[in-house]
Amino acid sequence: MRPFVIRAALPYAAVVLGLVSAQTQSATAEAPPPAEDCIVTQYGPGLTPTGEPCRPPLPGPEEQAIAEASQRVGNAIIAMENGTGSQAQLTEAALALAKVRKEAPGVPVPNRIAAEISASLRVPVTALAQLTDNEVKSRLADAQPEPGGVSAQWIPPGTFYPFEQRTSFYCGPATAESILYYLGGGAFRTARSYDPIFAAAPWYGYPTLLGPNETNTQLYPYSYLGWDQDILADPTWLNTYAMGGTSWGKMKEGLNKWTNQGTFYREVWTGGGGQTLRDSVWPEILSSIAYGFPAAENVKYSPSSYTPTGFNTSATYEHWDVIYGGRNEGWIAYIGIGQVYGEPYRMYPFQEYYWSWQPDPQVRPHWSALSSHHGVVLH
Amino acid sequence: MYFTRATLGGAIAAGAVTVAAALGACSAGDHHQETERESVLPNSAATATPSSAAGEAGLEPLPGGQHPEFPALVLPGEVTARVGDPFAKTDGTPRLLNFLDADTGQYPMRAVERGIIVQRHRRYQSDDGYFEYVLWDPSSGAERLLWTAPPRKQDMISAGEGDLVVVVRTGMSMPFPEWAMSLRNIATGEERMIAMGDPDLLRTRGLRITLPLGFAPMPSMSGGKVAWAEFGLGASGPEKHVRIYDVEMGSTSTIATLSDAREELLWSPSIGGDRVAWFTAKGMGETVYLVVHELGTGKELRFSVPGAPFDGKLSGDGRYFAWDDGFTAKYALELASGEVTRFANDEGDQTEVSGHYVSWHPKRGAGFYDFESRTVRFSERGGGGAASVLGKWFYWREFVIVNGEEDKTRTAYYFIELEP
Repeated sequence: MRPFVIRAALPYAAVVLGLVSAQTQSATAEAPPPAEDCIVTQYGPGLTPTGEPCRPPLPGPEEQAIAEASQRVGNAIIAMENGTGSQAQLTEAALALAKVRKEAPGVPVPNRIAAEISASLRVPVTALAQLTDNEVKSRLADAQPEPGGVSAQWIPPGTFYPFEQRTSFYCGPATAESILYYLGGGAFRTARSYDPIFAAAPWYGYPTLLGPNETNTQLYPYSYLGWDQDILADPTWLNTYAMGGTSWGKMKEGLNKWTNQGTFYREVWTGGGGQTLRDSVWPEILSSIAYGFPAAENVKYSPSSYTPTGFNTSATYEHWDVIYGGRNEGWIAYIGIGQVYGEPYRMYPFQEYYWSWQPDPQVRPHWSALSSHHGVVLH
Repeated sequence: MYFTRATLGGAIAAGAVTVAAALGACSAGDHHQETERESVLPNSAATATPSSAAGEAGLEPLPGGQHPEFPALVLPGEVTARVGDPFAKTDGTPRLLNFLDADTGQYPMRAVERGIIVQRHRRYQSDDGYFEYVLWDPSSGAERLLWTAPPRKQDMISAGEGDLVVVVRTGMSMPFPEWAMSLRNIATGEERMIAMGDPDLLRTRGLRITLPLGFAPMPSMSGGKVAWAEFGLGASGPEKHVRIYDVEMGSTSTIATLSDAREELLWSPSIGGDRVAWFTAKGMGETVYLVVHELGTGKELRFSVPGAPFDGKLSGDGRYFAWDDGFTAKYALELASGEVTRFANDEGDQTEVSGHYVSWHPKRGAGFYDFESRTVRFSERGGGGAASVLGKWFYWREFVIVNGEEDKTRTAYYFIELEP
């Protein structure tokens, strides 16, 4: 895997961080009603009382607007990666996204873009939100983007680590843990969170989110050490214990609850999707990564899709894992998967696969695993 | 549960052994009938019996200069096998479509005397999908439904002999803690449960739950015996065992045990001829040993294996052992001489054996290696992410790309006969 460097893209990031007033607009449309007639099963939205497969409700107008704006940002990134885009297009797309997304400026994510803006504008990150629109414009005019344009959207190795699933059906909790640790689990800890950060050793000995033993041992009889994955498997977060797995719907809910940010993560249902959906989801994934949010994905690896390295070709695996990057080379796209299965002794957790078909296909693209299962939980 | 008391008489008459009619009277408790034999792990704190030296094992020792008990294998740095002619499909090559229709996938799982068992995944894009198992004749295209798995259960068939196949039934998610293994006679439909997983293992911390199948075993079968590895709860903690099920006797024995499966590792057991082989290590990062166990005598030969062996299998006659080294190289060991042949690189991972052929799960290219002739052959057009030796056949998959997208109506598995 080649190293990925984020370059340029500073102006649009400034907009996204809330340095313009457009984001104060609010959506007025109502969200669609929940699918109350669906019975949630172990791993998915389940069946209706008449036995028909459930489909999650379509996103409401507000969420749909965010999705479309994210697609514009992602497509602008793709265009710049392929040398056909411009910084102005990216800025425009980011401005549109900022209008529909109602995040407070300066959210405490490890936002690489914020750091680059801070450096470029010569303003501390904490002071970015205090800049007026005119000051932003003035400083951006003086800023000199690095040559080369946007390279790729990839969470840099050394900052993101997939956590190996501790036991049993913990691919969901392990996926959530991987994401929350990257986002700074301690920083996001709320009154409803149990965890301070302690040192432990998942993949390659990097720290984990480890809770206090005495509390967790009492709360979780299956837990002898109070692992964070046990905590995340609690009904408060992912409800993995009760359901025997992490259902679609609980990942978004759990991540947003933990971070106490109700709109950090949203869902994109991909089950049964074709080329059109694939091509709209991809820029949304790139946008999520660009903003510093690894995505969770609920996939099915099987002979009818594909099986990553180390998985048995004969078996079907329903699974949660992490998307931590993506890049485009011409019309071929590559996706980075942080794998929570396996063990470091034999399996490297950072994997890269095709997102789209390539001229001489040896395996199906990764999309096949998403279109045959549930979807992506992303920013 | 699908346990049956019916007999499986004559089930492997076409295989290496003849099975008496009285295979019945088996019960779900069969897997508790253990005949403990000597432990096999070097320096194990478990039920350890010291390893036998190579010379005592009834196997030829390796050439001099190597440790007498744990001879280190020497791995070639490049492919040393003879590379034969590449192969490709022709107009008459039998094929099996990957998709029967828009929501039904197919996959060739296992060869039996009467054809190929094909797994058919109905409604594969839905949560309520299910699996059918169909017997398909590559020569004629004829097929018949064998059985249907319950909803949200899948049957994996990694072993068989004659009309018998070994079926491991699991759920849909790793680490597959609730598995059940049965023998199924595809001629008569009779079925016998031979082992099942212990869900209480989920309470155990610190077990290394690894790909490719987690708790679920990947059995192999030879000479009327089935070999596999499984976790179990012992008095002092989680254990891991190498089990042998004798089809004719209807009993299970244990030939190796790890007393603390949280520390020591044991993986990838397989049976070939009268030998069973597996990998073991005292812990993560420790030296990996290949253990070759003679079922007749209980004696063993061990080799230290450099690299990161992931998956390995004995040849059908037990004379060779092939393995995948960390997804980057494929080796074959001739046990009598200790000579190692490298037959592939990073074309794929894992190993599949049929008789004296071995293949891998392709990622960059498909092919197969013949232990006897020491020849590897590669597909001209890759492997489409799925390829394997299956009985007398080798198959691989090819995609059809139209305007940059897969034409799923034309993606197919192609079958060539290895030994017409």
